[in-house]
Amino acid sequence: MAEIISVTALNRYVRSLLESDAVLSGLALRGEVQNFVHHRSGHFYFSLKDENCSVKAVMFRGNASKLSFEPQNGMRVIVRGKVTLYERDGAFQIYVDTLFPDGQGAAQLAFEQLKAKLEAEGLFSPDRKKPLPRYPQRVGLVTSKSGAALHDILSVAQRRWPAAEFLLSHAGVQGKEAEAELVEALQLLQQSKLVDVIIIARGGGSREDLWVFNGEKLARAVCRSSVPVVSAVGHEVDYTILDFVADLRAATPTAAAELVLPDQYAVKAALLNAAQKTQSLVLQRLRMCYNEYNLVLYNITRTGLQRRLGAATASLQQQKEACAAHIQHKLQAKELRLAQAAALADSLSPYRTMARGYCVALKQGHTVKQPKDLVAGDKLNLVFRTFSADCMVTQVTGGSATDEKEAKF
Amino acid sequence: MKKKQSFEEMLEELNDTVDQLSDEETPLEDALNLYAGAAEKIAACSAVLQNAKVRVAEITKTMTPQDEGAEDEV
Repeated sequence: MAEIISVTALNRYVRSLLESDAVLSGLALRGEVQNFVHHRSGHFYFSLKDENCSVKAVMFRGNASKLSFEPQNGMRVIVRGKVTLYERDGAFQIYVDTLFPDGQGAAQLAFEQLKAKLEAEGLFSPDRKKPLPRYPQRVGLVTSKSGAALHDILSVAQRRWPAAEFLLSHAGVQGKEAEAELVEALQLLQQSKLVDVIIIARGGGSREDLWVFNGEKLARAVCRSSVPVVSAVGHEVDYTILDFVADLRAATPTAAAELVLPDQYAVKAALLNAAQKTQSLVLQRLRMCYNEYNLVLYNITRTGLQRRLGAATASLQQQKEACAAHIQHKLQAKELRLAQAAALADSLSPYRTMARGYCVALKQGHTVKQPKDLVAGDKLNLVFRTFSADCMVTQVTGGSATDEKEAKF
Repeated sequence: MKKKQSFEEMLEELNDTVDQLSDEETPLEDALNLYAGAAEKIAACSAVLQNAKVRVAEITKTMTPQDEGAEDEV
């Protein structure tokens, strides 16, 4: 008698059985999409059916968002994933990791596997992407020299950047065997050191035509390149492996040329702008200097020198006047002293004494002062104030009149 | 004669010149020299684009790029 268990326990048990199965934990399944729902959560819910049976499938947002297309009802697809049980409903379903349209078959599978491998190695990482030169000196082209891609690129160049210079490295761009040619052409350009960016280009074509660009050797050669590489393959929305490893992906050769080459009209506008800017800046500078010069000139002529000159002139005048006044003063003092001296001199003049009645006795022109100057018989000339008289000395008496006696006369 | 400048170098120098001219600390004499230099660069850059024709050469395995001259594909 079996043990009684709950439904939950049953479902859990079945789930554990399914998950421990080697086949169910990693399988590829071919089928047709039915009841497809793109839930607003981002998850895909659908069924896969063939002629007889169907199975529920779910693809979670993380994986679903990596798809480059949206599955549709009726679409034949191959999915990879694992099978397990959804315990709540007791329904087993396939949890899809990758999904791609059936038809390409093995090639598509190889593509998905290579893509996953290279991605895991980090070769698609944005950190690895090399920036493109803004003004490439010479552009390397890996393409067929007879292809439409070359013509497209040159047409764009002539219009967009006529100064462009290209170095063409011819390679066949179709079929699996072309991969070696592409790798060789790419390496030739890199080793030449003559180009600073490389475009790998091919015009449109079927998915099979473009298959060569999914090659691993080419992908690794691009990753090794020291020169940035732009992929420009086809008109398709689909990505090639080359698109993932390239430093920049262009949808078409025309687009690649537009991305790689600068726009001559924008550059001309920038040049014109630079010309106008430098001119206006220099004019502005000159105007500023002129204003500054004027200000300095004004300061020198007005405030500075003129004022100092005026002050100096005034000071000079003042000193001149002070000088003159000083001299005048001195002169007056001297004049005064002179007048006093003159008055004194005048008061001492013998003529004043003579005016009072005295006279001077001259003997032969010399003043007689002492008795010994005279002997009887001398002729004297007595000089009075207003007249004179000649006399004869008759006798010289010994005593001389004292001053006091004289004063009595 | 100095090594011929690339287009990018000339454009960079032009931008530098504009910056330096915008700086009021730049002495007048330098500014005038810069202006003269800028005019030369602008003329040189314009000349690059004037009457230019796209040029294509082919590189072959002999490693000697063979110049096919100007190829007008338009």
